[in-house]
Formats: sequence, structure tokens, C-alpha cells
Amino acid sequence: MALTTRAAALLLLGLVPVVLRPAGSTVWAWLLVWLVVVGADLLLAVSPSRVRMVREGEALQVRLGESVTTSLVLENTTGRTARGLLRDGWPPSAGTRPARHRVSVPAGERRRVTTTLVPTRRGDRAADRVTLRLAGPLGVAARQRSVQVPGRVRVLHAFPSRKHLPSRLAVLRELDGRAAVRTRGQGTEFDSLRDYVEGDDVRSIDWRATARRRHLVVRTWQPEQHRRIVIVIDTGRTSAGRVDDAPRLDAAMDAALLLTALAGHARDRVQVVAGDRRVHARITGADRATLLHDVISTLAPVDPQLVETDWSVLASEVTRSTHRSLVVLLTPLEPAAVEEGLVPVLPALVAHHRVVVASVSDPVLDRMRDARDGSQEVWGAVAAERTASLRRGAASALGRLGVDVLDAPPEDLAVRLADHYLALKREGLL
Amino acid sequence: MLRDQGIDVDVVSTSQDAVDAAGDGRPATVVVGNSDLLTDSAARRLLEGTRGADRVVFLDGAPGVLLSLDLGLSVGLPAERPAAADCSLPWVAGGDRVTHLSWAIVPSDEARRDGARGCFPTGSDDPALPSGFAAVEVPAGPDHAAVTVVGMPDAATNRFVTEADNAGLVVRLLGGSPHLVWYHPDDEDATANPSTTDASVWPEWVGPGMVVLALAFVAFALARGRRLGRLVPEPLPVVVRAAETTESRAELYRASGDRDRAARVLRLATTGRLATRLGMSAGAPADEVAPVAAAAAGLPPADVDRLLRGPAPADEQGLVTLAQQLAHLEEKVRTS
Repeated sequence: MALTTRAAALLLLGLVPVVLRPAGSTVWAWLLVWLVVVGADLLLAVSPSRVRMVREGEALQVRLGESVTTSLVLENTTGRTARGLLRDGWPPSAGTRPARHRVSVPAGERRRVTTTLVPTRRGDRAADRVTLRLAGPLGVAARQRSVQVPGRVRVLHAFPSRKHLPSRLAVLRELDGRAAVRTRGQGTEFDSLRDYVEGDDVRSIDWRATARRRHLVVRTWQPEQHRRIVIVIDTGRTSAGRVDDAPRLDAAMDAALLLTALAGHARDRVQVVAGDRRVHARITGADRATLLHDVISTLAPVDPQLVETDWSVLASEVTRSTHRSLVVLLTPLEPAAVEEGLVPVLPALVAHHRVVVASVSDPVLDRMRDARDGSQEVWGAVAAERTASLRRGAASALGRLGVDVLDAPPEDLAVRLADHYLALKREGLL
Repeated sequence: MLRDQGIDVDVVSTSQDAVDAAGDGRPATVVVGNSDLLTDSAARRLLEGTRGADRVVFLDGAPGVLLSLDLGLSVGLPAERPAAADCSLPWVAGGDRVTHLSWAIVPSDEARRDGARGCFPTGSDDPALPSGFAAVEVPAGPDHAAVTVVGMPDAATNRFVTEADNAGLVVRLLGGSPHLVWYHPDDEDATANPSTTDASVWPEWVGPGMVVLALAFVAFALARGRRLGRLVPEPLPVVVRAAETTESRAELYRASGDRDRAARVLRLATTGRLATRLGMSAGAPADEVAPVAAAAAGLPPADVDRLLRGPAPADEQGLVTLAQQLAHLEEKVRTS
């Protein structure tokens, strides 16, 4: 049961009889009257267990920063109007609005109650209990009950770099036919013949076809297709570090998503693995149409773990297939972690695949390095210089192993990685 | 003056003392000269204890406690100056006149029936109301001795006692018995006999009203305190700032104060960036970079060489200066 503020107001009204007849007995009599009224109201209130609740849309998906609505349908199975409050319980980061609803369901009818969710963090959020508090006819007392009505919202990565996708797709289309000009032979595929137009490279003229057709014909080439691309996302302790108040993992996912979208359009086969000591998410892009959606949705609940990444586990995911692949390792360039964890497994990978390490750098380090106003700042600058030189050392150690290293701040990493992929594709190095 | 006439005068300050003094066997008159600190309970006690006395006199009309003494007397304001005594009491002579009247004592009809007699009528503002008197005497009853209430507190003071017939009246009034107890209540007396009418400052319903308020507050707290469903736990993310290791490294450097190493780190970093900028290999030694950088920045080669290869700074301030000069050099090369 629950009292309402109206019950307190009713009790306060007892001041009137007390003023008219100032005695202790008046107080007790009024309290008795109040108890009887509250009890009667409670008895007359509609039982919340007789209001059936069903959720519409149990599993929702929403991109971080956008809103989604979830609805509860209330069916009043009693002969009286059910009036009161309803709260659809979600974790705080699900961002429910409004927090409580005023409901009124006439006898035997149904009403829909809609809650808007504006989640504030990525991941899965499950609905907690739905609480219904139905007041009696006088509104002084209410009956309250909480029931589990299943519901779940998957908050997807915001994927902010998707705004760069159209421009990179334009570059990709431009590669059509032109890539062959640079490097004939290896890594390019014959597409079709077409008439020569001014400006075409004379080296691409197909003389045999020209002789047959009696006018100039050039061969066109399309970029290599059906190459295998494996994106490995490190979710270990180093990925938990926050850069600009978002974990490095989020920036790494952003880059992985842009590359997935781009490679999917280029008809490459994309595989995404996310893990640390074990694999948390694995997407094999069997279905090209739903590839990006699969990746974004599977990666949504993956969070950084405070464990040291076991690169041999992740490397074995890559080496399952013996096809030559582009292997993109999204991991921070933390010198100690790289030297002890990553470097030992790299030679085996580099031997069979083209390996790219993409790391999220921290703009704070640059700011620390440039601040030299006072003693404290200078010591910070010294530390930042030292960190930067250690990172450079780790990067060059990887470079010596034949690995391409990209180190960029969070907002640039996705574009840098996409451009690197396009450059490799242009040169037929996949 | 009364002592000169052979009257025994006791001055007491508590009602208990007054009762004791009046009850020593001699016929006594008890006078209350100033009733400012006379509480109702002290006055009742006085009346009860002095049943055997000749007379109890309230010289100043005792306006604060008169009503609660149940003598059938009340206090009003005198409407006019009394002309003549117009009564026959033993202590009043026919031609007496009074001045400095402060209060009019108004006996109720019931008191009049019981024999209360007034002297020096003061008239009344409203003809419907009974007339007041400068002095009223209530005869002795089962609960008290004869009580005389006089509304002239100033008449018995030394300043005015010589005016009109005040002196004669007062001496006759107080000198009726061989023993006079002058009761002058003080604050101790008031504390010992707490007033029972002070509580009535608050209306009677305040007590029960407070109970109702408290109950309503409890009901309000219960109403607002009841949660609409339980709290939902939030799976909290790990919060580690990526720059934390570097900041800790800075604190360690600072704590150790190794300026030699700090200067080496700063010079190495600057040399590396300058070499890259000037088209040399990134690992070029400082003695090769310095002259090229000096030429690019337009600075004396010796200064640049000392900046990049000089001795470690002697103190903290030297390190700060070195760091700023290195940044300045880089800036110069960048903008040249």
C-alpha cells in the first residue's frame, strides 16, 4: 500500500475540529476517522494485479544519442476505472522520460503508455520491474505492485565517422578502371572492354581487340575483390583508458565500423573479432547485405575488460584461414603491452598476411608536451616527451617487423584507417 | 508613622511569611502595597492563610490578579473624579476626598448582594454598566477575611500622601489593627508560587493542534517516502583516463628532481623533431642538427648548439627556461 499527500492533507484538516473542540480526545477521534477513510479507500482501490501489462517491442535497438520509445499496454480487467501512477523501471543510463506516468484505464479497456528512452551509454540495457500504484476513489491511499515485464534495448555505437563514408566510397569508385594503370598484373582483375576516350592511358589499349573492332578499345580493370579482411579489436585493459571522456575502445570500434562499411562496398569479405583473454564477439561477414548491421549490433555490448590481452588467442582467430588477408589490429600503442603481448605473435602473422596496427593516441599528451609555463608543466612536458618517444619506439619496432602502424587521435583514426585501406587497394597490395 | 501610633509593622516579601506573620495570634491587617510581582496563586494562598486576620488590603487594586480571586470584583478605568465618599465604612469619614485615583473597582451584582460596599463612586462610561468605586470592601467570608481593594496605588506613597485626605484615609485603613503585615511580593515569591494563568497566553487548541500537525507530517513523510518501485542498478563502466600513466610519470620525475635526465629527454625530443623538419634523418645527432637549425631559425649557431648540447640546468628555474627556449627554437624553425 501507499499513502498519498492527499492523505496527509486530510489529516491536517483535523485542525478544524481541534480548534472547535480543543481536547486530546478530538485528536484521537479524528485519527480514527482518518484511519477508517484510508482503510476504506484502500479496500476500494483497484488491485494492480488485475491490470494486465504487455510490452510492445521487447527488443529494441537504438544508436547512441538517438531516442527510441517503448510501450506498455495496460488492460483493466476489473469493473472499475484504474487510476494511478506507473513507472517503467530501466537502469539510469537508459535515460527514461518521463520517469513516471499518470494512468487512467476505464473498466474493461486498454491504454498504451509510452516511455521514451534516450540512452547515455553503449551496450545492452534490460528493463527492470514495472511498478503500478493505483489509488482508491478518494485518492488518499493506493495499492502498489511491481511486476517483471521483459524488455531490452541494445544501444549501438554512435558510429560518428559514418559521415566520412560517402567521400571514401567516391574514392573507391574512382579506383574502378584506374587502379590497373598503375600496376598491371598482380592484384588486379580484368573487368571489361570499352571504347577508348581521350585521356585513357595508352598502355591499357587492348591491341588485339582494337584490331578486331577497327577502332581503339581499352581494357578496364576493377579493383581486386573478395579479399579477406580481418579486423581484430583489442578489448583488454589498455583499451579502457579514456581519451576525451570516451574509452579508446569506442574510437577503435568507430574505425572498425568505417572500414567494415567501406570494405563491404568493395566486395571484400570482412571478419571482425573483438576480445582480450577470450573472444567476446566474432562476426564472419557471410551475408554482405547485413554485414554492417551485424557488426554494429554484435559489438554494441562489448565493453573494455581490466585484463591483459592474450594476443595468441586473438592471433589464432586470424590464422584459422590460410588465405592471405589484410589483418587490422586495433590496439593502443602501449610500449610494455605491445612488446610483451603483441610482438611475439606478429612474425607468424606477418609471414602470411598484411598487418596494420591502428592505435588511438591521446591529444592530452600533445597539450602536456606544449605546456611549458611553470615548473609543474615542464615536468609534465618531460613525461609527455618520454611517453611519446616510447610510443615511437614501439611503433618503429612494429615497423621493423613489416607492420604498418597508424597512430591517430580518436576523431581521425577511422579516416586514417580507411585511407590506408584505399591506398593498399589502389596499389593492389591486398 | 503607624509605628508611632503603637502599631506593630512587619514587612515581608513572600506570601508564606505574610501568612506566618498574620497568624501569630494578634489581630492583624495584611497590606499588599505593590501587586506587580503578585501571582494569582500567591494571592489565593494569602487569602486562605489570613482567614483569621482582621482585614486584607490591596492598595493598588491588584489589577493583574483581582479577577482570579473570585471576590466578584473587577477593575475598570474611573470615568470621573469621585466627589464624595458616599458610604459608611469605619475607616471613611463623611467629608473625605481622594485624589490620584488609578483604577475603579467594580463589584458585580452578586458581590453587592453578598454585602460588598463601595466608597467614592466614580460613575461609569456606559449607563448600562455598573458604577465603579475608588475603594470596595468585601466582608469576611468562609474563605477569607474582610478584603478591601483600593484603586489608589499613588495615594499611599510619600509623594502624594499629604494631599487631600489621603493620609487620614490610609492611616485609618491600615491602623485598624494593632499588627500590620506589609506584604511586598518579590520575584522569589513569584517563582515559589507560579502563576496558573500565564499558560493561557496560548489558545487551548495549540497542544492538540501540534499533535495533529505532527501526525500529518508523519503521514506526509510516509506518502513521499514510499518508492514507486525499487532502485535499478546500473552496470558502471571502467573509468581510467588514458593520460594517467603519463601524469604519474610526471609526478615521479618531479619527486626525483632528476633535471639532468629531464633536460636530456627534452633536448632529444626537440632534436628529433627539428631533424625531421629540416629534412635530416630522425636519428641525426645534435651536433649535426644544431648548425642547420641555427641557420633555419636565424639564430647564432653557438646559442643553438648550447641549447641542444649544453650542460644540464643547475636548478628548477633553469630547467623551465631551457624547456621554453627549446619550444621557442622549434617555433622559430617552424615559421622560418
